Amino acid sequence: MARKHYLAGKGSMDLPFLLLALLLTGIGLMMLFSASFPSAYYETGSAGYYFKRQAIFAAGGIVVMLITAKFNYQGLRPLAKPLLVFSIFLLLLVIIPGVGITKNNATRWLGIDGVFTFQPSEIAKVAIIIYFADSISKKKERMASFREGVVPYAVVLGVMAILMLLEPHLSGTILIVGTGAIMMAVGGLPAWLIGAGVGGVALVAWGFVALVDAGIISYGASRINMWHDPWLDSSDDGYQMVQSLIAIGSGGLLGNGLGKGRQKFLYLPEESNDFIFSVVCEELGLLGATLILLVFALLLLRGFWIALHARDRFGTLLVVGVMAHLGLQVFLNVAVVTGLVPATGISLPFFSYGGTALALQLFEIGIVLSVSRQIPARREG
Amino acid sequence: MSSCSLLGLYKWCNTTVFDDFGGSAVAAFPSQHNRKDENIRRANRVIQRRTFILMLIMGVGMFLVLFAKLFSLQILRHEELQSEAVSQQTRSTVVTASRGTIYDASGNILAISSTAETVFLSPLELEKQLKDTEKPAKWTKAQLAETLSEILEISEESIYKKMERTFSQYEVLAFRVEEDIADRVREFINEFDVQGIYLSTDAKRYYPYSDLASHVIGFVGTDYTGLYGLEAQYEENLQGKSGLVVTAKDNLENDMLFQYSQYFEPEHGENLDLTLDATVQYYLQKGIEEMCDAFSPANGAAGVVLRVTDGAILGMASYPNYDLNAFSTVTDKTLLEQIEREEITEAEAQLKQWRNKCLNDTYEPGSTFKIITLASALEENAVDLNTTAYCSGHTVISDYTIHCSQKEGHGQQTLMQSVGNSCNPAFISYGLKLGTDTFYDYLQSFGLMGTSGVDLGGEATGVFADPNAFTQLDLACYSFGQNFTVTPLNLIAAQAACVNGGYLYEPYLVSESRDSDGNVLYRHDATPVRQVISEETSATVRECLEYVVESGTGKNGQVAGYRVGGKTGTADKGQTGDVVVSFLCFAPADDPEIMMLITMDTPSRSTGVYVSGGNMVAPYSSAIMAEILPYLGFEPSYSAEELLGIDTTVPSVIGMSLDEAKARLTERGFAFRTVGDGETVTDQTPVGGAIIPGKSTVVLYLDAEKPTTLCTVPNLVGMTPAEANTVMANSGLLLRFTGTTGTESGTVRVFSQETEHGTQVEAGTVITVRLGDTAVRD
Repeated sequence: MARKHYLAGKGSMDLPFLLLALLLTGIGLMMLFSASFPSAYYETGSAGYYFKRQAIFAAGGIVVMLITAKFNYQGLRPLAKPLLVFSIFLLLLVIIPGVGITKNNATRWLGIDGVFTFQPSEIAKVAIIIYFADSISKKKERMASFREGVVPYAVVLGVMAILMLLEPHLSGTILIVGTGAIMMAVGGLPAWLIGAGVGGVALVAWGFVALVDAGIISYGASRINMWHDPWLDSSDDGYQMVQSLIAIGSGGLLGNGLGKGRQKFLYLPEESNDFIFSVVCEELGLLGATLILLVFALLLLRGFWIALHARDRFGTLLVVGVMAHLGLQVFLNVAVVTGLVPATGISLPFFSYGGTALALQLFEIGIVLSVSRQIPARREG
Repeated sequence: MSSCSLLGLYKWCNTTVFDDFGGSAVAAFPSQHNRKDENIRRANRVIQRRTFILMLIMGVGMFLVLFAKLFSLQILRHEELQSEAVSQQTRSTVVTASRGTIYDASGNILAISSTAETVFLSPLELEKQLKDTEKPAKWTKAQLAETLSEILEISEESIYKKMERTFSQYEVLAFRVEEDIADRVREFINEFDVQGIYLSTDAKRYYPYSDLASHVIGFVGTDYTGLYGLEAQYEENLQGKSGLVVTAKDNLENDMLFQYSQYFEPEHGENLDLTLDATVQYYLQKGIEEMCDAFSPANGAAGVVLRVTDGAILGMASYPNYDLNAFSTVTDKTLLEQIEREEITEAEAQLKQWRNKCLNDTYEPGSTFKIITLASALEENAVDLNTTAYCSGHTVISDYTIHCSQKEGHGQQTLMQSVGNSCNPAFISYGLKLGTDTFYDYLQSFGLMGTSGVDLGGEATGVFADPNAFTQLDLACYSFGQNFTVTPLNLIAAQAACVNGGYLYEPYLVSESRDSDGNVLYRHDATPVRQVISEETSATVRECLEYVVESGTGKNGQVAGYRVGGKTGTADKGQTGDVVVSFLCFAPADDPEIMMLITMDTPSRSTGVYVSGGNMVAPYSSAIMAEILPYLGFEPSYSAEELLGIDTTVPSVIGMSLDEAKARLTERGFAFRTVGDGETVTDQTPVGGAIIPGKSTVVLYLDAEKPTTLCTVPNLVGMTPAEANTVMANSGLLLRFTGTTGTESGTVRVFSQETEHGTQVEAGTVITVRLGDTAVRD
């Protein structure tokens, strides 16, 4: 019986998780087409321009996902360190003037502009998940000590955060630090430290907002003010938020109908990227948006179920990392477009336009599937 | 599968162990190291528990938070945000409802709306299209200027000039162009895909008869709402409700890729049918205009033609007049002179010409009011046809001496004679017989103290003494129409009640209103307000008033072929020495249908005509009635005497012997004179077939040459009819009399002549002259 578990890669993939992931990829593609066709038409003359590119990456991503699922995830352990070093190298590369590609005052991309570009931060996220899972799983109870459980990881996250803030890339930093921190917490940090960490972050965030409101800090003031009331400057700084809220609110319970959104007609900026969920809300209404969030929730629940049933600590932490990353990103994206938190540019997994991100997301799903294949049979009794 | 439930999963977390914890599978962790095992076991449990907590936070908690936020936006704030969305995503274009048409009683259009289009260009957008390299424009500026100049008939240069104003979005090329021109512009725009030339539709109000019934119809302002007259009074009926086209647009103001539009149809305004008749109105205005030309009144004139059987207004005119299509332009001669002399500003002149003196202003009516006094006194049996009154030329009431228009007095008169003489002392005595209270009651019964109730705005209310302070002296003055004021319209409504059997009607202008599909929405209900006097009293009043025109001060109001009743009026305007002259008449006198009141305020005293209603207004009233009575279908019936003067066709007598010719001419009532001394008629003037007045003289040429020289029209004004006849016969011209038909009276003189003296005309031409009785003193 035990021998069975040894045969890596022999079990079957977790079907519910796979289906939920495929479902989200499908819905995501469909919504991308709906959201992007007006601007695709206006900008390129071809309504399906963005959709086609995204579909190619989705197809490729699914192949990558299935292949990854076939491999034994234990094979990722030796890759952990090299990948971390490589991603830090890429993050260094991107901030060297003249190497990275700059868009909207941020230097976040590598590659050849117009042909193929990617964000090193996307790779960094994967690297962090694998490295932290590998490292933490080996530390076991030593995670409870400050010197071993906190310092090394804080240094890694700190280096990455500094490099990414230099781009600047605040949202990417938040995601990487958040994912890393969650993995550390799950991995065994002392409870008081977790409490202090969560409390500290909350205090800093609250303090920052309070100081901005009091007029003591001017950095980020516009962002905070627009978060409080985007209508203060609905034609400029608050424009995007106002347009997003109009799109979401006008959707009502049942929405305008798939494809029949109006805000995407050059009113709502980033309608295919960070604000695609506003289009979802406008077209599918509260009902459709809730169903989609529910699918995400089910994917997360099933993902964590896999984590709980994983064969080893490494598998558990890998899946926790992937799911934490996914959950954080979904939450922050929807929270931003609905005005729940101040705006930062976080894309919605499976939905937002961006081929590399989608392919990497599917690769991460593949890792979870790979873990799911080695879930031991239920112990009786 | 209890592990599917979260609770089961939680229990499981605390019991399970990983394979890489010391299980037989992992050699790295030998099972004998028990203390270490226990530590690892604890660490694993921590991971399990925390993963489970994270699962709850992310899979359930976050979902609930986001759902709550979405619910607040999509349900609670839905309406607010939806309206924001609609207001930015849609463009609505107003579709103007067409304003209702106003028709006269015969179906002629008095006021109508039509849409016209304004062509304008946006130089800014034209420039943008020219600079667009991706989609190059299919036109050039030169092409555009040339084509548009050809279509719109404006110079190319002016179009160029407007195109150069590249900062501008709106430059008008042509205002209110016709539809075919607009279509050609549209065609051009479409063919060359021009972005920057546009057409906008707006409505325009046309008044086909220009200055006809301008005070009744009124006009609309620049915002297309009625400002005066019926246009203002019936604003709500005429205006209709605007429609709307709502289209979806993108943020660049283009229509959205998919068509989304909603059309709210406009409700067109109601059409109005008036009682007013354009033909009647035309003659009314023509007569008043001629009267004003002759007597240059300082304060204009007014006239109302009323159907006494139901209060329908057939005509209503006020002077100074104006053209509805250019309502701000002052054209009246008197007003222009006043502006020139800087007595009034142009704005004041506009307000004056827009006033409808029939109902916006009140006046002291003077003797035409005696009809009311007469009717009241008869109804109360204070007088009857046998009553006599003595006039010494004045009477004294409460120490005030009141004079009669005839200073030497009328002597002893019957009731009817006193009406015919318009004798003030006689009417004062009738009024006194009624007493102050009864008289005052009649003022109210005749509706004189309120407004007439006509469907036109701005009706003025007269000024009357307080009932408690209504003295004998007041009563005396009121009896002959002085010391109080009424509007002409209010007065004629009361006067109509005096002759129509006693029924007081509200005067009205709109008989019917219909929606654009022709359904009748409103029809005037002509029920009398009340019966003020009896049928018998009314008949007596009619008799007296017919006498006035037949033999009294109203002689100049006679109309050949018709029985006309009437009453003259010459009222003092306070102590100014100025007067308002007026004449009221109605026909047929025995069974009245049509009544007309004309007033003229402050006529010139230097025309040589005695200043009185009987001399100044009655002759023009007669001329107007002579036109409108036959038009309205009243057949004339001529007396024998009148018949002789009726136009007759001249027989051709050329070739006949003198005797034969003589017989043919006298048989038809013509006189003749001969030129030459032959036996046969070789020529005649007028020629056979000509239609000339019956008693004219025909010239017969007996072997004599008919002279071809032209005749000079002599000045006949002021002559007796006989003198005029003689002068005309000698000049080779023919004479036709109009006006007062009693030519035998010694005081009748030629009042005016249609062809001015000194004019050269052919021999045998008929010259029409108007006779008037100069003895009339009121």
